[in-house]
Amino acid sequence: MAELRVLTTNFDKPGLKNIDTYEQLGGYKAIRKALKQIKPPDLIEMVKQSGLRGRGGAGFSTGMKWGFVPKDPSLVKFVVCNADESEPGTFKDRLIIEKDPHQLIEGVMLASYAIGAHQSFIYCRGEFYEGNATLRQAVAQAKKKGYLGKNIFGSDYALEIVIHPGAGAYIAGEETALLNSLEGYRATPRLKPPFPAVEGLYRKPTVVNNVETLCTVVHIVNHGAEWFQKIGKPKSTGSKIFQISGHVQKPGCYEFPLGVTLREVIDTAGGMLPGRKFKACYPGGSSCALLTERDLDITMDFEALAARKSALGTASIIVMDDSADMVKVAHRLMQFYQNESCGKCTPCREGTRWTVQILARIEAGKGTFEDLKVIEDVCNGMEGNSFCPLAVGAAPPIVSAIREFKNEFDAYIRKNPHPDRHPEMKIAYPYM
Amino acid sequence: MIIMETKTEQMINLTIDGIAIKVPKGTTVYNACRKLGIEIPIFCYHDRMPPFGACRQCLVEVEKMPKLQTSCTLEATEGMVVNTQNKKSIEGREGILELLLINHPLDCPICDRGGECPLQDQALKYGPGLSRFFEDKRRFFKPLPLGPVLMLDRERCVVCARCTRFSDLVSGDHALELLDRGFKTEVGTPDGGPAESKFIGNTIMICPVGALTSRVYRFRARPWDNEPTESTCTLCPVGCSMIFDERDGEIMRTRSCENKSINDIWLCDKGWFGYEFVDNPNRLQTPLIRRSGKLEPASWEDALNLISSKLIHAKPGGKIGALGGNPLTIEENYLFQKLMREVAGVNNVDHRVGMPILSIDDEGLAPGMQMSIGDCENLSFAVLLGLDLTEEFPVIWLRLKQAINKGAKVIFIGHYAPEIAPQLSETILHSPGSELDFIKQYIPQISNLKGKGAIFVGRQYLANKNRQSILEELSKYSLPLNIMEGRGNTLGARAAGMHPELGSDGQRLPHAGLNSIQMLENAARNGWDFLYVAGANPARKYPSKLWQEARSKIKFLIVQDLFLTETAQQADVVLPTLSFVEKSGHFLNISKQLQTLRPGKELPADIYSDGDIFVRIAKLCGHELVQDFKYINNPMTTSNKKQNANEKSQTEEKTLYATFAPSLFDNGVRMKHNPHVIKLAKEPFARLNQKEAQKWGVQDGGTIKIKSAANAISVSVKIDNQVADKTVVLPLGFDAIPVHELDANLMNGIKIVIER
Repeated sequence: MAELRVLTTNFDKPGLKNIDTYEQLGGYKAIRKALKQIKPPDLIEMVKQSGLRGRGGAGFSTGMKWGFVPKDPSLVKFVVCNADESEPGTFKDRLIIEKDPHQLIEGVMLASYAIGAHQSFIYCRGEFYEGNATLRQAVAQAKKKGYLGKNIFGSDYALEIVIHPGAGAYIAGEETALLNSLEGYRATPRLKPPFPAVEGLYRKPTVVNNVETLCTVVHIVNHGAEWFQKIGKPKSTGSKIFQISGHVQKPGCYEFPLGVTLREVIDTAGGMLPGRKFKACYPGGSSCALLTERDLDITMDFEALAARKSALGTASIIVMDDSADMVKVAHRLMQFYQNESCGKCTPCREGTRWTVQILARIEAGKGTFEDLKVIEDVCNGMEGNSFCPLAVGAAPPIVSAIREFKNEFDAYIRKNPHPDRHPEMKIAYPYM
Repeated sequence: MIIMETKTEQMINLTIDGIAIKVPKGTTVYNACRKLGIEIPIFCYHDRMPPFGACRQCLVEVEKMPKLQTSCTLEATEGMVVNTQNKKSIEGREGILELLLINHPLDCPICDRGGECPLQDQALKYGPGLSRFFEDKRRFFKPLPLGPVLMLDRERCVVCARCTRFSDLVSGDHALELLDRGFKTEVGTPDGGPAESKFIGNTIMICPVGALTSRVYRFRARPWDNEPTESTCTLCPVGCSMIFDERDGEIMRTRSCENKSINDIWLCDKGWFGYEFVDNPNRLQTPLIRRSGKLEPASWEDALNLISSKLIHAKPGGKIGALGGNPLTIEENYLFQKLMREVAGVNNVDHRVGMPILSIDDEGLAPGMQMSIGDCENLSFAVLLGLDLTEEFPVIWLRLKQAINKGAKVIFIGHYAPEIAPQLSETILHSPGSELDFIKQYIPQISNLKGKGAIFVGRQYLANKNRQSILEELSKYSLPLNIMEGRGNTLGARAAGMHPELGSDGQRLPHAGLNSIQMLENAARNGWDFLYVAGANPARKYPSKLWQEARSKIKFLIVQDLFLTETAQQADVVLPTLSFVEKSGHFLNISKQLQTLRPGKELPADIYSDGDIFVRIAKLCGHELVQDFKYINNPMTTSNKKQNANEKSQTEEKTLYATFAPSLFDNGVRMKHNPHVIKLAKEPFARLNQKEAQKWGVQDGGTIKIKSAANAISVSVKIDNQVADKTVVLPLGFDAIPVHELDANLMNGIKIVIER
């Protein structure tokens, strides 16, 4: 399957950050069209029809999410764009923001118009210094032209957009933690229900959408739901930016229709490094089960990867060749989740640290065979019983690595002269 | 089938462990289980706060749901089938307990919480029994003091966030917050300093492990050694129900006792930690008699004989009086005034020492609330008129905060912003003297709001020369009018007749006696024979000139107290007495609810209660004092006399008006003898705003001389823009700022001049 550039069409055009260039290339056409011809409920219906599924990882139907927002026009509502892109291996939103910020502004405008929000936010990852500056500049340009503010494009619709930088927590990518952070609290997830569509930012109905999702809406409005539906697979419609990183020749972003095979993506990225062999990859960021050589012909869409008990996630493929040490991979990934756990719920706070400690011991040649069973138990507990998706995503990469490459773990454990004996139990006291 | 109390609410049918149950819509699965007697372990959930779902301990299996569910957050729905005792849910809960324990130090043998610890109990009952954790436990430098009364052992914490949610949702002071993230998460204060709260003791109670402990109680007892007694706190007029824990004749700690209509399950920190004075070694042990200028220990017989002979001797002249009664029970107050009225034959009795004194004709309405404290939770709107709620009636704030959480609009109008101002809908400031204008401007708008409302009038409006007109104006609105005035058992003292104008039936007497200021003035002028002071310290409450002149002309002064107060040092006879922890009797709280006192510890040898002393003195005078008091809730005494309100708005450019601010933690006699709680008292300052400071050329932190018509004192100043213009706020009850020198009656609105 060949590349299909929809969102990324104009990325190579010079001066795209400038609002005039964006307009010359057909920008702000969708929002003009929507404000003139499409009533908000019809816009929601159009997005539903298109089959667009959220591009932030969970893959929930965007049109349905918008549909949950109460229709009462007297209620204050918000659209919040989740630009806190921090999943390992994911770098599509950054590219969009830095290359084509007006595409995102237009997407936010469409979503806000659809649900009737007059104040919207883009919560942008704090480390994206350039991205934050670019977005601010884009909003300023749009305001100056009167595209934001009151009576947008001659209609009676009004909208303001605020760019808010994050403070560096992975968990702020979870929508309710993002809302807490945006309100100025610790970024910890909130209890659901109530869902943000009913009670979100400042307890008002709120839609939280990923950058790529909102940008895709622009093209759905421009070309119609039917056009979008025809791209990709029946239940995974449209095109998607695939990010490929790791041991490939040309890592980067490549846009394909959903349903492209893993092999095609890797080949487009120039294939493996010379003389190396594909060993495994995480197909949707790090928070999913890994794929091995057997899976190279799997189609990259929501259903096929779910059936394989992995996930499309953000379609961020982290490729590892035969030089990768899976014990170190598991250890390093778990360290990431340990450091990013917000500490609210027990399984995640305690489980991630315990697993890191065990993996470190195995790596140091002091592991026992029972350790692998404990890791599996703890990971199952994290996946089943934690508060939010962070720990749910922390378990599969480690469990799948142990399952697929048990021999590598066993080899480390065999370095221990007594791999069947319990290590000495440590006593917390006397303390310092 | 078990049916829970059915009202008109919609009922939900569900099945738990095979038993069908009906619960009202909105009930959580956890609470439905509890109704069935099925115990599910919890840590983060607390029934006074909304579900949180963080600890994951209360997992149960619900059919048709793929994952285990936290029962504390899950609302019961029609037809739900819940399994709490099957293998999957038991294993789920064991897994969580194993995780909670891996970083817990398991130091139960040296932990204060051991024996009453939810983590200990639940680990025993529901834990896996064996740990698979062989790694390093998390360690912290320990223990970490968070202020004078609170200690934190971070490695014991299970991050249930009960304490931080208490600070957010119940007390609203944000004294404790979670710091850092992930497994490094710890409890701390926002600025790293001491926890700034008046309610921090409650966080110790709701902590489900031994992470938060009391520095007062730490390492003093194991819970099973303590002998609990239910009684009442008498340290402020709220009169919270509390439990005394005694061990080997000493009070180890005090705890709250659930009372829906007063304190719910909470206490303020004075209640939690203010009991150390009871076992303070400085307490008076024997009577003292002044012999050749010095107070010397004496027998009870000698002391009481001396008192009765002096009393009999003084009786014909009638130059006799009695002061005090706020720390006494209602029965003791009754006996005290009876002793003076029946035996000595005078009406010169007054409990209002160091409180503003207004005659019945001028006070308009008597102190007390027109609603129950518990009802404060159901208000839709409230006005606090010159009431610094947390300083004077702390626990009532916790009840009112619940109403605010439900959306109630609460407005403050007064001379300076209270510390709870950020939680209120609006804070309106004005200088002393313009109260009536502000009432007329704001109350009509507010009283039209929908739902239940109430007016709370506090010291800034009550200790005021326009009090009667203010209360008359407020009576026009058909809202409960709560007159928030009092110290300790003042309502009880007044009800028992410890008042120069009122008898123990609450009715006015034909011949009024002298009030406390009149007594001292009269004594200074005419010379008195006999003054009996019980549970009061007039030497620190009145201008020293007035007190010294009166003292020098009083032939015989008796002081009955726990400690050798400034007044006692000048007495002719000093009698030791029992504290509130050792007494039986009753306490009348601000909402006129009668609370019972029960002795919580072994009584000290050879010390008697105030009541017993009065009875014995009467007996020596040949009189049988009978305790036949019955409390009747009389309607408020109102006078018909019209007052000419001083409505002239004060416009003089360069004048300052004083307003007096009470503090919960001050330098009072009892508080001074609490080694921990006295550290909670803040450094006192006179406060005025930037504008006035500039006008008077006053520097922040500087020392100034404050001059009233009567006297001048030196005070340090703090600039605080939460103070109204033309106003200087002077704290009451601090040794460093002897405000009692400025005015005998401490009325708000007295004119002040600043000299540098």
